[in-house]
Amino acid sequence: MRLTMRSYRAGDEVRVVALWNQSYTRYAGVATRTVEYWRWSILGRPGMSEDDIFLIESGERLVGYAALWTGGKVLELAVNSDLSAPSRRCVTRQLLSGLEARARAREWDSVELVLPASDRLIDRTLRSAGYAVYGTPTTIVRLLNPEVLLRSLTAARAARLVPLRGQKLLVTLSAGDDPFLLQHRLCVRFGDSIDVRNVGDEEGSSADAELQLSLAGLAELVFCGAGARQLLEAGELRVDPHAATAKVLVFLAALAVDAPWYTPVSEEF
Amino acid sequence: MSHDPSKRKSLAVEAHAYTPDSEPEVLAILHGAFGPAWGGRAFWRWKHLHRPGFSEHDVRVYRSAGKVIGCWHMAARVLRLGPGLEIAASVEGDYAMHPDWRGVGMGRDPASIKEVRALAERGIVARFGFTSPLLYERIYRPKLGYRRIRTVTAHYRKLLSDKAIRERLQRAGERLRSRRFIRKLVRERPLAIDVEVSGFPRCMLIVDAEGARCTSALEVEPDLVACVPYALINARTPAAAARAVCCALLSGKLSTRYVARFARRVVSALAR
Repeated sequence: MRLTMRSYRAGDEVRVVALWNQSYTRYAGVATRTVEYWRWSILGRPGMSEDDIFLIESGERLVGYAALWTGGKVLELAVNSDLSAPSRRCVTRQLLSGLEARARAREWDSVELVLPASDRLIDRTLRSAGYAVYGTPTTIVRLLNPEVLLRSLTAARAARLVPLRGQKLLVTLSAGDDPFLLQHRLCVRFGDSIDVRNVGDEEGSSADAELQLSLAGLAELVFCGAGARQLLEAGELRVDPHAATAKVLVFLAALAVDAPWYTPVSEEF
Repeated sequence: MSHDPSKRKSLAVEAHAYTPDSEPEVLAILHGAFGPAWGGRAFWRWKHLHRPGFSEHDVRVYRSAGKVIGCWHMAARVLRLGPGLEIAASVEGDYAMHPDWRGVGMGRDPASIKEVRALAERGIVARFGFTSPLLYERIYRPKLGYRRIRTVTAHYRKLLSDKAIRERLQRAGERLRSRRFIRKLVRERPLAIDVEVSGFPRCMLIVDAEGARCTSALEVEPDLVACVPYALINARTPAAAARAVCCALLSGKLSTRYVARFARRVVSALAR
């Protein structure tokens, strides 16, 4: 594969955005990019020079891109994930050498990147080029609208919830550490479609089972890799009647975000 | 503007959305909390005001007696949780309070419920933010109910300049000097180590009674000469350093000279 590297030219943004979206499609925690957002986030950023945005092409095809900001901070680096492993490695190396040469020319002391360490090929390529991990960000979450969250999750995982068809679960949430709880009782009905509704203090919300946990406990299950069994053993999750525990565990297991969570530095706040 | 937490309930704090006239005071609050390195007015305007989809409600300005005492910023985003699964989220940050108002529990104040409801009315499902491990353990988890996400995000760095290498070595020298034995060793005469990090020019680390410094000039006759691999400089933990040393020894990338001279000096310091 013959690769050529050049700096950004007006009009490249559509292909750059398409490449970025393709490269990070399997990650959670990212927002799908638009050209307007990219223009603001990268091109319009104070201190950004168009010369420091590198594109690598193989013929007409854009296969790699990186944006270097002041002080040697790389805002974004994307390599086409459909390429073979040797080609991805080669594109990454070429991007790194371009970034380093430019950082040296600008007399910056280092090059810094924020990338998913779970991408073993990129991680190994970086390490072999002399990069070392010096930290991970502390990304935090707090739930505001569990009704919509559960509705979205159950709709996306409906196939995994087929064994619960015909059942009705009541989710009772407590505030826990969170000072504000806007919804404390949700009814989940498993039928042809899955219905999630905030029932509040509504009377007559009988269910096949009721599970009780805190709002933060729900966040742990969805975003933090906590296991429902683990919460159950710690007394942070209660199921009534106890005999319904197996069903509840099926429900809760389907809620976990299992895609690797990645936040590009350009989206840190 | 000083504030007595015991009188918190009687003090009214007003919150309002972004107004152009509040910009200078908001920036002053941000600089008070994060230093001028946070960025100037142009940066603030780019980050918030000019962001696609910006709403004046993405900025909250807290006032007491008419003066700005704090600010909070957010951006509404549609975050992907998995294939075909997205939620409306707020990504929040640039939260800063005037020093007199820190630690008074603004985040748990009953008045904040209005803001939380306003976020919910905007369709926000979950709130995300970035903090330090210390603040997470001290405030965000126990007082505000946040939880830390399991993430694969990693910060990578490669040092490029010999100045950066010298700074790193100087910090290592300062850590070394904090040990009692090293202070004893350098009490009468500085310890000079000629260091060559692979790929960078040689430099000299001098540890004396005053402190540690690393210079590009090879000023004095060294007590020890060490050629070390770049990986050792980057090691974050003793275990990583030990691994780097082992790899370097096996591959011949780690070498030392004048070890006997250095050992004699150590022995004589021990004997004193």
